[in-house]
Amino acid sequence: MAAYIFKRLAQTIIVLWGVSFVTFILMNVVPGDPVLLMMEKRATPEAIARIRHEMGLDKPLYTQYFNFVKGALRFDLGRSYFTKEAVMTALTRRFGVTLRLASSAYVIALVLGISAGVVSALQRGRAFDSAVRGGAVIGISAPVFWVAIILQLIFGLRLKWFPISGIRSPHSFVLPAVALGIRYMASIARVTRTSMLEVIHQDYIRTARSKGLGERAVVLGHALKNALIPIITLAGTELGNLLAGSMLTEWVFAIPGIGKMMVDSILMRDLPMLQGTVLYVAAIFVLSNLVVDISYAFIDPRIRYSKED
Amino acid sequence: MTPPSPMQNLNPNINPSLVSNPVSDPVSNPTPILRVRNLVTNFRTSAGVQRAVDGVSFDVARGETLGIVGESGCGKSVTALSIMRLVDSPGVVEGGEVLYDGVDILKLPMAQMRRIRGNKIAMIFQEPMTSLNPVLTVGTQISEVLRLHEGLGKKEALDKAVEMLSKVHIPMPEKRVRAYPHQMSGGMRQRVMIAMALCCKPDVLICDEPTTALDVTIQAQILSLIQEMKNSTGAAVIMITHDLGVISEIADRVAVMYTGHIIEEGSKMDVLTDPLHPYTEGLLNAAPRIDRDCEELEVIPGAVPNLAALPKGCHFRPRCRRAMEICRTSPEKTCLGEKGGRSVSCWKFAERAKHAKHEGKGERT
Amino acid sequence: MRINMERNRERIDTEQVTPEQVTPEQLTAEQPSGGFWSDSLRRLGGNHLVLTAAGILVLLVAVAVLAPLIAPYDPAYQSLADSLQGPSRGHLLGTDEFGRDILSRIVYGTRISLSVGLISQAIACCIGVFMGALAGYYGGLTDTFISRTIEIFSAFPELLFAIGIMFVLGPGVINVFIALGLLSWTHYARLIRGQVMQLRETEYTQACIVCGGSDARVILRHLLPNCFSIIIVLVTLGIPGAILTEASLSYIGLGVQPPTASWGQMISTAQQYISFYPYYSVAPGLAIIVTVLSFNIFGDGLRDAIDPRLRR
Repeated sequence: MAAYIFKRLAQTIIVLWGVSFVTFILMNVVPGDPVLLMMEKRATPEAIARIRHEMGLDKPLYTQYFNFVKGALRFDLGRSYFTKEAVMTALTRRFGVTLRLASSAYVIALVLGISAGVVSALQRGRAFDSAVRGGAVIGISAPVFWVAIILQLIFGLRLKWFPISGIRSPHSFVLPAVALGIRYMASIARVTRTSMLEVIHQDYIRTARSKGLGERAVVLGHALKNALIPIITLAGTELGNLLAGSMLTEWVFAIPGIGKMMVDSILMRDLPMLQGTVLYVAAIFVLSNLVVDISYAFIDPRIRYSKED
Repeated sequence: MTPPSPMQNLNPNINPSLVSNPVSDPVSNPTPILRVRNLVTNFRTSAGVQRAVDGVSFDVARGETLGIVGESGCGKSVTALSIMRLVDSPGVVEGGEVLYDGVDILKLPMAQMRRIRGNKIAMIFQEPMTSLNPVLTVGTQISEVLRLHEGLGKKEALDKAVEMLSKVHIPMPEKRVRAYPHQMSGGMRQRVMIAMALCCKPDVLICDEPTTALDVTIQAQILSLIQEMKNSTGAAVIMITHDLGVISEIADRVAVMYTGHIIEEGSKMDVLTDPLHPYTEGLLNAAPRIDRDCEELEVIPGAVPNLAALPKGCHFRPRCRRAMEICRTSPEKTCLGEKGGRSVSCWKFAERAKHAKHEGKGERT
Repeated sequence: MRINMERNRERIDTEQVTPEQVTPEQLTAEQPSGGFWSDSLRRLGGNHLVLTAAGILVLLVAVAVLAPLIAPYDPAYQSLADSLQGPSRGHLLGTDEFGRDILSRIVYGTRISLSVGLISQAIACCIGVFMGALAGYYGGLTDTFISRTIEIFSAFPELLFAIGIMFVLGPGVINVFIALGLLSWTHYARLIRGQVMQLRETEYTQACIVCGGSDARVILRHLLPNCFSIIIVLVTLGIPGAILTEASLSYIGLGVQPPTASWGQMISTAQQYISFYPYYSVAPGLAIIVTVLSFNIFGDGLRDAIDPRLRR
């Protein structure tokens, strides 16, 4: 177990390093001089050179990268070109909002998705199953932002049940969370259904039935725990997409989270802000995958005890 | 118990067409605990209806071991699953009775059936590797049965599980009870399965090829364990196998299955030493034997026919060396019955039986 | 006295966990088979939903190709006097803020969505198959390096990565192709790597290696043709994702730029008018859903017909 966690940790560190590298490269091949972008057109060459020096942009690229990593390790991701606020401060401030949105959506997706998938698998071929399958495939085919707009239109503008923007009340999170959750709910329901169907035909389920267990005990006690393994994988990889999806949702509902901040920084070409956000989100994604992998070990004893895999 | 030469006991007064079920020997089978009557299980697939089990009947008594032998696809496992009512869709048990202690369990409500499963009738499966739940400890899996049927508490059930593990000769049962299936060898897992099946002292134990997936040496151990457990609990055992070796080691009586029918039934000695049905004969001739000196093993020509497209008449006819004209047109019939519980489905014996009736003698030529 | 009666059924036994049970699979195995592709086609043909999806896809391709003939108006023709008109006989889906015909713009948008889907997946497929084959064939250090690269690339949530690349490259259709290609090559690489690793150990591959076949020959003649069906499935299932990502990019304003008609960007504009003119937002959204849905259903069907094991 310890060896397994250690190995995954080492892998994560390598990946995180790679992520920082790719992020840095991406941001440094952006055409256009960032200093020229942030300065007024009438800035003197001396002023430009001074700012360049202040920001460390006159140093060779590898030194810049080194400084970037050094900063990132100390949670210092530089300052915004425009607001001059430290990127890390802005991120932490806005992360709470995104976290609230994403976690509500995640809970909606997991709870409804898994239940729908399980019932659908057990009712295979019946009306409920067809409805879940149909709904799920439509759910994964609809663009998140469009679903958000339509929800806004129906429940916000027409029925006026929920506010269509902002975060003033807990109420305001309902529509964005549902909009964001629907897609992941759909894919989780699909995977749960497939996985349950596969598990339900395994020999050990027959054994469980042969012991005289009732359907409930067979499904919840024997099948679900086995079926959870692919669901967790998906829940882990989807977490990243959820974060990315929250960018679009935040944009639609004008929610001041990380996503909106990122889109804003793109539109304003605020490099440090963008670089920091990308690194931050990727890091969260990588770490959440690590958590997923370790939680496998708790569900599947075969991983817990195997040394080499 | 039964003399090795059964034909001399052939009762010429029995009208072969009336004897559709084996007649139990009242001495060796006092009261059968499980009686299966004309069991029919069909698989309805897009490719047609397959009669996987087609009118199977047999009895087993407490303390008796019935071996059911046959090739893959002959319906022996489906028979077992039908008795347990565990046939998966698209299979459906469509006819017949399974009388446990006089009650037709095929007609019981599911809730009552569940009280019988694992409690009164237990089953051991072929694949010890996949038949145990990989994410639960063996202790959990055994104690689950005890908690369900005996109403034991968590702690008591676990203690009883340890006891069961030591009964099936698993070393260090206190430690093993916390192990997961993948930490055990195939033989160990099958022992766990046996412990699980026997912890409620069932009246009937159905073993579906319990040794097929195991090494030869382990096979012998598991068989003797089943034997030992049967002797201590007095359960009736139905041993399903394709291996005549297993039959010869453990069974009291043997039923040979082909395409969903029992084509021959009798005591172990009778069937193994004096097979009547050409198919049984073929099976025995295909087996290597130490007591006979022969150069080559015989092979039964052809393959088991597709159940959705069975040949007309006797299903074994295309592979049978002794096929007659009548085998081509009419289906086989159970034509021979006698005190030793012997029956066979073959026209050859219908002819012989008629013949015997005329001459008052059943000597075989 | 041990007999193995299973010998006649070997072919099936190797595939069945419980050879004893008569299962539908067993029946299928006994039916005469007409080769891999015709078998797959036969299985595909049995599914009406999949066939419908395939029909819609054919229709969509036709619309994209014949856009100038089908569209009632020039998608760029502006008529400010007719702006934001609801559906009418003249404009079936109404007009946008410049008085352009929405239906015509959606028809032309098909071109963008389909070409983004196809071209980006073609790019991803080339990179992915190449990298995957290298990693799977050579193993060792090459494999480690490529595998780590795949991991690092997959560490970014897809849309985030797409946005990063688009930010660097700047908006535009060509750049969307490139960004989405760079985004999804890892899916291909991962699966092809696994396949090639497996196939490399097969007898016929080993035989070719022993006979002195060059690496390129072994990979191109023996390994990749065997991955062909997987690649087809991956492309089919990759396209809808690419179309959605393009729509998202264009929606944020980083993808296809106006005046070119793109569904995502149409929704982005339409959003401003949503309170009094919702048709404008609904129509392009439905176009996206129908397209993506058809690809998803067709892709799922194709995967199940060709190789159900790919489900995982």
